[in-house]
Amino acid sequence: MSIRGSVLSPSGRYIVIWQELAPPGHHVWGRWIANKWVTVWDLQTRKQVARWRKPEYENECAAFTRDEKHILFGSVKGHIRIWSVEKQEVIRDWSLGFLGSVADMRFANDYRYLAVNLTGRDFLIRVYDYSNGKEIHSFEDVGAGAVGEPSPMTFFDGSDFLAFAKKKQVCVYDTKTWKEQWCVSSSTKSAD
Amino acid sequence: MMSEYRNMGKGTLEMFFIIGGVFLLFQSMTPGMAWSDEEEIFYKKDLVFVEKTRSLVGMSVKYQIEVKKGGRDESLVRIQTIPVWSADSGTVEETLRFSPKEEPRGVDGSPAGDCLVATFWNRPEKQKHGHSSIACYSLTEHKWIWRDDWPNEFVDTARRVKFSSDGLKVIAIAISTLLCMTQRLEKSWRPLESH
Repeated sequence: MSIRGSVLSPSGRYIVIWQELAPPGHHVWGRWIANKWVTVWDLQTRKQVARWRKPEYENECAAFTRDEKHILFGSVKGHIRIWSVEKQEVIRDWSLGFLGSVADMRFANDYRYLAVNLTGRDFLIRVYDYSNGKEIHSFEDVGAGAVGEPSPMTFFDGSDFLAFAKKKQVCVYDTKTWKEQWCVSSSTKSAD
Repeated sequence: MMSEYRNMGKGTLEMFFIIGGVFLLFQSMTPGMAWSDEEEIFYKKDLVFVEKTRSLVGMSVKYQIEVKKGGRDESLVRIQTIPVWSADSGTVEETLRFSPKEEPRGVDGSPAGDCLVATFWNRPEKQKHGHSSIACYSLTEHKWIWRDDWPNEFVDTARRVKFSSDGLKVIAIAISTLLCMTQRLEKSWRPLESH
Protein backbone atom coordinates (compact mmCIF):
# COMPACT_ATOMS: atom_id res chain seq x y z
CA MET A 1 0.00 0.00 0.00
CA SER A 2 1.20 3.49 -0.62
CA ILE A 3 0.39 6.95 0.57
CA ARG A 4 -1.12 9.09 -2.15
CA GLY A 5 -1.57 12.20 -0.13
CA SER A 6 -1.54 13.67 3.31
CA VAL A 7 -2.45 16.97 4.91
CA LEU A 8 -1.63 18.38 8.34
CA SER A 9 -4.29 20.03 10.45
CA PRO A 10 -3.86 23.76 11.23
CA SER A 11 -2.45 23.07 14.71
CA GLY A 12 -0.16 20.33 13.41
CA ARG A 13 -1.70 17.82 15.76
CA TYR A 14 -3.54 15.70 13.21
CA ILE A 15 -2.66 14.32 9.84
CA VAL A 16 -4.99 12.78 7.29
CA ILE A 17 -3.57 10.18 4.94
CA TRP A 18 -5.20 8.64 1.93
CA GLN A 19 -3.91 5.88 -0.22
CA GLU A 20 -2.92 5.36 -3.79
CA LEU A 21 -5.61 5.74 -6.37
CA ALA A 22 -5.60 2.81 -8.72
CA PRO A 23 -5.57 3.79 -12.38
CA PRO A 24 -8.94 3.68 -14.14
CA GLY A 25 -9.60 0.29 -15.67
CA HIS A 26 -7.28 -1.36 -13.17
CA HIS A 27 -8.17 -4.88 -12.22
CA VAL A 28 -10.98 -4.87 -9.68
CA TRP A 29 -8.92 -6.72 -7.07
CA GLY A 30 -6.08 -4.24 -7.39
CA ARG A 31 -8.52 -1.38 -7.07
CA TRP A 32 -10.14 -2.92 -4.06
CA ILE A 33 -6.81 -3.20 -2.31
CA ALA A 34 -5.42 0.14 -3.37
CA ASN A 35 -8.44 2.33 -2.78
CA LYS A 36 -9.37 1.27 0.66
CA TRP A 37 -8.90 3.77 3.43
CA VAL A 38 -8.68 7.33 4.60
CA THR A 39 -7.10 7.55 8.04
CA VAL A 40 -6.73 10.42 10.50
CA TRP A 41 -3.85 10.23 13.01
CA ASP A 42 -3.05 12.10 16.18
CA LEU A 43 0.63 12.93 15.91
CA GLN A 44 1.03 13.41 19.66
CA THR A 45 -0.20 9.96 20.59
CA ARG A 46 0.56 8.38 17.19
CA LYS A 47 -2.83 6.74 17.33
CA GLN A 48 -5.45 6.52 14.66
CA VAL A 49 -8.47 8.67 15.51
CA ALA A 50 -10.67 8.05 12.48
CA ARG A 51 -10.81 5.81 9.49
CA TRP A 52 -13.27 5.37 6.69
CA ARG A 53 -13.42 3.68 3.37
CA LYS A 54 -12.44 5.98 0.59
CA PRO A 55 -14.98 6.38 -2.21
CA GLU A 56 -13.61 5.45 -5.58
CA TYR A 57 -12.14 8.20 -7.72
CA GLU A 58 -11.94 10.57 -4.77
CA ASN A 59 -9.31 12.36 -2.78
CA GLU A 60 -7.08 14.25 -5.10
CA CYS A 61 -6.46 16.71 -2.30
CA ALA A 62 -7.70 17.60 1.17
CA ALA A 63 -7.87 20.45 3.67
CA PHE A 64 -8.81 20.58 7.34
CA THR A 65 -11.25 23.20 8.52
CA ARG A 66 -10.04 25.58 11.22
CA ASP A 67 -11.67 23.64 14.07
CA GLU A 68 -10.05 20.41 12.77
CA LYS A 69 -13.40 18.66 13.04
CA HIS A 70 -14.02 18.46 9.31
CA ILE A 71 -11.92 17.57 6.31
CA LEU A 72 -12.64 18.68 2.77
CA PHE A 73 -11.79 16.18 0.07
CA GLY A 74 -11.49 17.12 -3.57
CA SER A 75 -12.55 14.53 -6.07
CA VAL A 76 -11.66 13.79 -9.65
CA LYS A 77 -15.27 14.56 -10.57
CA GLY A 78 -15.35 18.24 -9.62
CA HIS A 79 -16.87 17.79 -6.17
CA ILE A 80 -15.71 18.71 -2.69
CA ARG A 81 -17.04 16.39 -0.04
CA ILE A 82 -16.87 17.57 3.54
CA TRP A 83 -16.37 14.76 6.03
CA SER A 84 -16.94 14.87 9.75
CA VAL A 85 -13.92 13.34 11.50
CA GLU A 86 -16.02 12.42 14.51
CA LYS A 87 -18.96 10.89 12.64
CA GLN A 88 -16.82 9.60 9.79
CA GLU A 89 -19.45 10.51 7.24
CA VAL A 90 -20.04 13.10 4.53
CA ILE A 91 -21.90 16.10 5.88
CA ARG A 92 -21.94 18.10 2.67
CA ASP A 93 -21.43 17.29 -0.99
CA TRP A 94 -20.51 20.42 -2.89
CA SER A 95 -20.47 20.31 -6.69
CA LEU A 96 -18.30 22.99 -8.26
CA GLY A 97 -19.88 22.51 -11.69
CA PHE A 98 -16.55 21.62 -13.25
CA LEU A 99 -15.81 18.60 -15.39
CA GLY A 100 -12.45 17.64 -14.00
CA SER A 101 -10.48 17.21 -10.83
CA VAL A 102 -10.30 19.29 -7.72
CA ALA A 103 -6.53 19.07 -7.62
CA ASP A 104 -5.59 21.32 -4.72
CA MET A 105 -7.20 23.52 -2.04
CA ARG A 106 -5.95 26.32 0.21
CA PHE A 107 -7.79 28.15 2.98
CA ALA A 108 -7.08 31.78 3.88
CA ASN A 109 -8.62 34.93 5.34
CA ASP A 110 -9.57 33.34 8.61
CA TYR A 111 -10.90 30.36 6.68
CA ARG A 112 -13.26 32.51 4.64
CA TYR A 113 -11.42 32.14 1.33
CA LEU A 114 -10.99 28.75 -0.22
CA ALA A 115 -8.78 28.67 -3.32
CA VAL A 116 -9.41 25.62 -5.46
CA ASN A 117 -7.19 24.39 -8.24
CA LEU A 118 -9.27 22.71 -10.95
CA THR A 119 -7.69 20.61 -13.66
CA GLY A 120 -9.31 18.94 -16.62
CA ARG A 121 -9.71 20.19 -20.18
CA ASP A 122 -9.18 23.64 -18.67
CA PHE A 123 -6.92 24.63 -15.81
CA LEU A 124 -8.49 27.13 -13.42
CA ILE A 125 -8.03 28.54 -9.97
CA ARG A 126 -11.28 29.60 -8.34
CA VAL A 127 -11.58 31.39 -5.02
CA TYR A 128 -14.77 30.70 -3.06
CA ASP A 129 -16.33 32.19 0.03
CA TYR A 130 -16.39 29.07 2.15
CA SER A 131 -19.12 30.37 4.42
CA ASN A 132 -21.70 30.50 1.61
CA GLY A 133 -20.07 28.56 -1.23
CA LYS A 134 -20.16 31.51 -3.61
CA GLU A 135 -17.41 32.07 -6.14
CA ILE A 136 -15.46 35.26 -5.44
CA HIS A 137 -13.00 35.18 -8.30
CA SER A 138 -11.82 32.87 -11.03
CA PHE A 139 -8.45 32.78 -12.78
CA GLU A 140 -8.88 31.23 -16.20
CA ASP A 141 -6.30 29.47 -18.32
CA VAL A 142 -3.78 28.98 -15.54
CA GLY A 143 -2.11 26.07 -17.31
CA ALA A 144 -0.73 22.88 -15.86
CA GLY A 145 2.18 22.54 -13.49
CA ALA A 146 4.76 19.81 -13.92
CA VAL A 147 3.49 16.64 -15.59
CA GLY A 148 0.51 15.29 -13.74
CA GLU A 149 0.58 17.97 -11.06
CA PRO A 150 -1.58 21.02 -10.47
CA SER A 151 -0.04 24.47 -10.51
CA PRO A 152 1.25 25.21 -7.01
CA MET A 153 -0.44 28.06 -5.13
CA THR A 154 -0.29 29.81 -1.77
CA PHE A 155 -1.88 32.73 0.02
CA PHE A 156 0.36 35.08 1.94
CA ASP A 157 0.23 38.12 4.21
CA GLY A 158 -2.87 36.58 5.72
CA SER A 159 -4.96 36.48 2.61
CA ASP A 160 -3.90 39.77 1.03
CA PHE A 161 -2.07 38.05 -1.80
CA LEU A 162 -2.43 34.87 -3.77
CA ALA A 163 0.61 33.46 -5.56
CA PHE A 164 0.46 30.68 -8.09
CA ALA A 165 2.27 29.25 -11.07
CA LYS A 166 0.59 30.34 -14.27
CA LYS A 167 1.81 28.48 -17.31
CA LYS A 168 5.57 29.06 -17.25
CA GLN A 169 5.41 31.97 -14.81
CA VAL A 170 4.92 32.61 -11.12
CA CYS A 171 2.43 35.41 -10.45
CA VAL A 172 1.16 37.28 -7.41
CA TYR A 173 -2.34 38.81 -7.24
CA ASP A 174 -3.81 41.27 -4.76
CA THR A 175 -6.94 39.62 -3.37
CA LYS A 176 -8.68 42.95 -2.72
CA THR A 177 -8.64 43.98 -6.36
CA TRP A 178 -7.61 40.65 -7.97
CA LYS A 179 -5.07 42.61 -9.96
CA GLU A 180 -1.71 41.24 -10.89
CA GLN A 181 1.16 42.51 -8.72
CA TRP A 182 3.95 40.81 -10.60
CA CYS A 183 4.63 37.85 -12.83
CA VAL A 184 8.08 36.39 -13.48
CA SER A 185 9.16 33.70 -15.85
CA SER A 186 12.63 33.29 -14.45
CA SER A 187 13.59 30.86 -11.74
CA THR A 188 17.28 31.67 -11.86
CA LYS A 189 19.08 34.67 -10.52
CA SER A 190 20.32 36.85 -13.36
CA ALA A 191 23.77 37.18 -11.83
CA ASP A 192 24.15 33.38 -11.58
CA MET B 1 40.94 38.76 -68.82
CA MET B 2 43.82 37.17 -66.92
CA SER B 3 43.62 39.82 -64.22
CA GLU B 4 39.88 39.09 -63.81
CA TYR B 5 40.66 35.40 -63.20
CA ARG B 6 43.45 36.39 -60.80
CA ASN B 7 41.08 38.67 -58.86
CA MET B 8 38.41 35.95 -58.74
CA GLY B 9 40.97 33.47 -57.34
CA LYS B 10 42.10 35.98 -54.76
CA GLY B 11 38.46 36.60 -53.69
CA THR B 12 37.79 32.87 -53.32
CA LEU B 13 40.94 32.48 -51.25
CA GLU B 14 39.92 35.38 -49.00
CA MET B 15 36.46 33.91 -48.57
CA PHE B 16 38.01 30.52 -47.66
CA PHE B 17 40.16 32.13 -44.97
CA ILE B 18 37.25 34.13 -43.56
CA ILE B 19 35.00 31.05 -43.32
CA GLY B 20 37.86 29.05 -41.82
CA GLY B 21 38.59 31.81 -39.32
CA VAL B 22 34.96 32.07 -38.25
CA PHE B 23 34.80 28.28 -37.86
CA LEU B 24 37.97 28.20 -35.72
CA LEU B 25 36.74 31.14 -33.62
CA PHE B 26 33.40 29.37 -33.06
CA GLN B 27 35.18 26.13 -32.11
CA SER B 28 37.43 27.90 -29.61
CA MET B 29 34.47 29.63 -27.98
CA THR B 30 32.39 26.44 -27.66
CA PRO B 31 33.45 24.48 -24.58
CA GLY B 32 32.24 21.18 -25.95
CA MET B 33 28.52 21.73 -25.68
CA ALA B 34 25.89 24.38 -26.12
CA TRP B 35 22.41 24.96 -24.82
CA SER B 36 19.52 25.57 -27.11
CA ASP B 37 17.38 28.63 -26.48
CA GLU B 38 14.28 26.49 -26.24
CA GLU B 39 13.44 25.49 -22.73
CA GLU B 40 10.39 24.27 -20.90
CA ILE B 41 9.94 25.42 -17.33
CA PHE B 42 7.44 23.78 -15.04
CA TYR B 43 6.73 24.75 -11.49
CA LYS B 44 6.16 21.73 -9.35
CA LYS B 45 3.76 21.14 -6.52
CA ASP B 46 5.13 23.42 -3.82
CA LEU B 47 5.03 27.19 -3.58
CA VAL B 48 5.48 28.46 -0.04
CA PHE B 49 5.73 31.84 1.62
CA VAL B 50 8.42 32.46 4.25
CA GLU B 51 7.19 35.34 6.37
CA LYS B 52 10.41 36.39 8.04
CA THR B 53 12.33 36.87 4.81
CA ARG B 54 9.22 37.77 2.78
CA SER B 55 10.19 35.16 0.22
CA LEU B 56 8.27 32.85 -2.05
CA VAL B 57 9.96 29.51 -2.48
CA GLY B 58 9.08 27.14 -5.28
CA MET B 59 10.34 24.12 -7.12
CA SER B 60 11.11 24.32 -10.78
CA VAL B 61 12.13 21.79 -13.34
CA LYS B 62 13.53 22.97 -16.61
CA TYR B 63 14.12 20.82 -19.67
CA GLN B 64 16.81 22.10 -21.94
CA ILE B 65 18.39 20.61 -25.02
CA GLU B 66 22.12 20.06 -24.70
CA VAL B 67 23.82 20.18 -28.07
CA LYS B 68 27.18 18.46 -28.26
CA LYS B 69 30.06 20.00 -30.18
CA GLY B 70 29.41 20.00 -33.87
CA GLY B 71 25.67 19.99 -33.36
CA ARG B 72 25.33 16.29 -34.10
CA ASP B 73 24.18 14.92 -30.75
CA GLU B 74 21.35 16.37 -28.76
CA SER B 75 20.08 15.24 -25.41
CA LEU B 76 17.36 16.49 -23.10
CA VAL B 77 18.72 17.61 -19.74
CA ARG B 78 16.58 18.02 -16.65
CA ILE B 79 17.67 20.98 -14.54
CA GLN B 80 16.06 21.22 -11.14
CA THR B 81 16.09 24.21 -8.87
CA ILE B 82 14.51 25.63 -5.76
CA PRO B 83 14.08 29.32 -6.62
CA VAL B 84 13.61 31.93 -3.90
CA TRP B 85 11.77 35.06 -5.05
CA SER B 86 11.12 38.28 -3.21
CA ALA B 87 7.40 38.15 -2.46
CA ASP B 88 7.19 41.91 -2.92
CA SER B 89 8.94 42.35 -6.24
CA GLY B 90 9.30 38.95 -7.86
CA THR B 91 13.07 39.35 -8.07
CA VAL B 92 14.92 36.06 -7.86
CA GLU B 93 16.93 36.31 -4.64
CA GLU B 94 18.56 32.94 -4.73
CA THR B 95 18.48 29.76 -6.79
CA LEU B 96 19.41 26.42 -5.30
CA ARG B 97 20.46 24.10 -8.12
CA PHE B 98 20.52 20.33 -8.19
CA SER B 99 21.98 17.74 -10.48
CA PRO B 100 19.63 15.32 -12.26
CA LYS B 101 20.76 12.69 -9.71
CA GLU B 102 19.31 14.67 -6.83
CA GLU B 103 15.65 15.45 -7.31
CA PRO B 104 13.88 17.81 -4.90
CA ARG B 105 10.48 16.30 -4.11
CA GLY B 106 9.01 18.75 -1.63
CA VAL B 107 9.91 21.97 0.13
CA ASP B 108 8.59 24.05 3.00
CA GLY B 109 9.78 27.04 4.98
CA SER B 110 9.88 27.17 8.77
CA PRO B 111 7.49 29.70 10.30
CA ALA B 112 10.53 31.37 11.91
CA GLY B 113 11.94 31.81 8.43
CA ASP B 114 15.38 30.46 9.23
CA CYS B 115 15.17 27.11 7.47
CA LEU B 116 13.95 25.64 4.23
CA VAL B 117 13.40 21.95 4.61
CA ALA B 118 13.38 19.83 1.48
CA THR B 119 13.02 16.18 0.63
CA PHE B 120 15.07 14.55 -2.12
CA TRP B 121 15.18 11.43 -4.18
CA ASN B 122 18.84 10.64 -4.78
CA ARG B 123 20.09 8.25 -7.39
CA PRO B 124 23.89 8.13 -7.27
CA GLU B 125 25.53 7.09 -10.52
CA LYS B 126 27.09 3.76 -9.60
CA GLN B 127 24.41 2.59 -7.20
CA LYS B 128 21.62 0.29 -8.22
CA HIS B 129 19.00 1.74 -5.91
CA GLY B 130 18.21 5.30 -5.05
CA HIS B 131 17.41 6.62 -1.62
CA SER B 132 15.53 9.50 -0.07
CA SER B 133 16.90 12.21 2.12
CA ILE B 134 15.77 15.29 3.96
CA ALA B 135 17.79 18.45 4.41
CA CYS B 136 17.60 21.94 5.82
CA TYR B 137 18.91 25.04 4.05
CA SER B 138 19.56 28.16 6.10
CA LEU B 139 18.10 31.22 4.43
CA THR B 140 20.28 33.44 6.59
CA GLU B 141 23.59 31.56 6.24
CA HIS B 142 22.83 30.56 2.63
CA LYS B 143 24.03 27.00 3.04
CA TRP B 144 22.72 23.51 3.75
CA ILE B 145 23.06 23.04 7.48
CA TRP B 146 21.96 19.46 7.90
CA ARG B 147 21.00 16.48 5.82
CA ASP B 148 19.75 13.04 6.85
CA ASP B 149 19.09 9.97 4.81
CA TRP B 150 15.74 8.30 5.16
CA PRO B 151 15.95 5.62 7.86
CA ASN B 152 17.86 2.64 6.51
CA GLU B 153 15.11 0.17 7.12
CA PHE B 154 12.84 1.98 4.66
CA VAL B 155 13.67 2.17 0.98
CA ASP B 156 11.11 4.72 0.02
CA THR B 157 10.58 7.63 -2.37
CA ALA B 158 10.21 10.89 -0.50
CA ARG B 159 7.38 13.20 -1.43
CA ARG B 160 6.15 16.27 0.38
CA VAL B 161 7.35 17.88 3.55
CA LYS B 162 5.59 20.29 5.87
CA PHE B 163 6.31 22.26 9.01
CA SER B 164 3.60 22.36 11.62
CA SER B 165 2.26 25.88 12.16
CA ASP B 166 4.19 26.20 15.45
CA GLY B 167 7.39 25.25 13.63
CA LEU B 168 8.21 22.52 16.14
CA LYS B 169 7.52 19.54 13.95
CA VAL B 170 8.38 18.53 10.41
CA ILE B 171 6.26 15.93 8.72
CA ALA B 172 7.85 14.29 5.70
CA ILE B 173 6.00 11.78 3.64
CA ALA B 174 7.18 9.11 1.24
CA ILE B 175 5.28 6.45 -0.68
CA SER B 176 4.83 4.26 2.36
CA THR B 177 6.60 6.02 5.21
CA LEU B 178 5.80 9.04 7.24
CA LEU B 179 8.50 10.79 9.21
CA CYS B 180 7.66 12.99 12.12
CA MET B 181 10.66 15.00 13.16
CA THR B 182 10.93 17.14 16.23
CA GLN B 183 14.64 17.90 15.88
CA ARG B 184 16.11 15.70 13.25
CA LEU B 185 15.15 12.16 12.34
CA GLU B 186 13.97 10.94 15.68
CA LYS B 187 10.66 9.37 14.90
CA SER B 188 9.46 7.42 11.96
CA TRP B 189 6.74 4.93 11.49
CA ARG B 190 4.66 3.32 8.83
CA PRO B 191 1.08 4.13 9.69
CA LEU B 192 -0.33 2.04 6.86
CA GLU B 193 1.11 -1.13 8.29
CA SER B 194 -1.55 -1.25 10.94
CA HIS B 195 -4.36 -1.43 8.37
